[in-house]
Amino acid sequence: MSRKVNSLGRGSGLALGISLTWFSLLVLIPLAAVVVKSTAGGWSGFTHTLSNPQTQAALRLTIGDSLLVTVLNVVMGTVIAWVLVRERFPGAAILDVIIDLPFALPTIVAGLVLLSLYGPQSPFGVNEANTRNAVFLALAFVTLPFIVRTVQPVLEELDKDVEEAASSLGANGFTTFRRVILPSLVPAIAAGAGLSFARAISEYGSLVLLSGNLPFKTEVASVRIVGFIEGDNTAAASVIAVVLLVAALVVIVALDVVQRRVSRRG
Amino acid sequence: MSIEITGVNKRFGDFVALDNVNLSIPTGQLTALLGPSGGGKSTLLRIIAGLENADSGSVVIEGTEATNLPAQKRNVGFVFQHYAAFKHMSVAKNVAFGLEIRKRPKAEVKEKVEELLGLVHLSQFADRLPSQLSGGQRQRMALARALAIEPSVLLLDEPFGALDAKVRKELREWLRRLHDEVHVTTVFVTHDQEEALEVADEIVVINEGRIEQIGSPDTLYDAPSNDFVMSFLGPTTQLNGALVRPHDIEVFAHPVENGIPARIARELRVGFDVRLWVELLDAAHEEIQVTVTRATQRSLALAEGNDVWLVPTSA
Repeated sequence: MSRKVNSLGRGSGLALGISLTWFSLLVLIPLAAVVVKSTAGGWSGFTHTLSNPQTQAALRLTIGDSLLVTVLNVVMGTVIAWVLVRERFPGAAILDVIIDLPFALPTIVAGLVLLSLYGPQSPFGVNEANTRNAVFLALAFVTLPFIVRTVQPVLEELDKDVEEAASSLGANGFTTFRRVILPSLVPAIAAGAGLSFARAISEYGSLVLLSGNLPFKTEVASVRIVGFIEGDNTAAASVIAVVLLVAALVVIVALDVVQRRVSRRG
Repeated sequence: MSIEITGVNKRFGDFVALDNVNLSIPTGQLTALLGPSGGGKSTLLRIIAGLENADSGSVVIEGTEATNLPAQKRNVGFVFQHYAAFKHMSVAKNVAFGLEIRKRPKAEVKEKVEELLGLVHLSQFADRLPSQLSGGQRQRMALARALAIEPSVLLLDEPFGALDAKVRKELREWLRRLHDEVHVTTVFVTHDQEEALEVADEIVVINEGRIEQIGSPDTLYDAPSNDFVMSFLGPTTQLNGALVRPHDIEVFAHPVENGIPARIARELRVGFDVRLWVELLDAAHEEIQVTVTRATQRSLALAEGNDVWLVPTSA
């Protein structure tokens, strides 16, 4: 009996070892390298890079727009997931497939699509090239599927009788949604929002064409990183990378806190 | 009459779930809707609750025309087979839900929740989440939640169907006692005839969308109006083309007047009962089932291969 437990333990110990090694090689070591690199110029190098107004503008734009886009996705993604799961309409199956397109499309192709639709040659006469709207549009485009795809399966699994119980207890549709359905969706929404934000702060390919990368106006952090690398200043590039890393961590932790609080309150 | 159902029809596509159902459910009683799966009993219950709309016909609850009222305005307590617990809320919050919707003062809600949790023996679990309760406890919580709104009728849809046999039996007896305390008009759906016989004041047998018979458990068991009701409530066997209950056949070890000669083919003892499969010694050589008590089997020394004479005792 104890031998069986041991052999199982050895097997899962091996799996744990492999997982940790793999995770370290792919994630921890590169991340640590970036952090080490960013401190190459010492603390003064760090503050020097961050006090550069052009860098500050790029970080503000990136983090601000990513937050906005994530908020937009929380609403729109939940609504789209709801429509896909609950409404019967012609073309639902097609929409269900198309939602993934921003995921599947190579980002530069997405950039090209956006440029041809909303650039100087726009068939609708909507020219957003070289404006801040272009950045927002590109971020919204590539991050759309995240919340839809995290919320959809949870919504599908939701028991219909829970909603019926709420309505038999006197709750109207809105109250049922707010007090019964939404709390069950919050973990999924938070997870999707985390992914959406992380993707948005790192976005490059889809916005470089349409945004024009104008310093102080439409230049985002990832473009700034490329700029530093092209100028052979990897330390400065790493500093921005670390700031993005910290921003992602802060948002993920904040979402986790919100999710715990909301789903406990009910 | 607490619930009046008149001329209710319901179809799902081509399937006729309810076919012109008329039913009066008396106030303060415990009524069972009994029948095989897919017979329409759950549909009828859901129509009473407003969770399903009838294609035609009317539902009146406590004198209020409810046919077109949405579920949330019917003041009906509903208990689901799979509990339908609000998973993210504590047990106390679940029970308080209907009262909070009605914007009752906090102190009143708290008092009522405590009282109900006491009634369903869950006081010490008030702050747990439903996932930390057993199935039986979850269903008691669901019952407290439904009772909290002081419903004019309490409806239970296969309430013990998801529980194991022992818990089911306990909860059944407990529901009966609870009903004797609370006296709210209660309708529950079941496909388990034993459950209906044991718990209900009145049983409505529903099959293929129609009501077969309405009556007390005794009436239905002793005077079923047709073969379906007879065979659905309790065991039956065929004797000379008629349905009889296996325990309503008397067995003699010697020839008697009007006795039907037969031979014991097999016997099986189940606790106090002894089941006999006997072969009739007529042209057809039909095999029928007879149930006798262990005492009878002993005193007559019944054994496989013995010749016996059968006399139906009723009808």
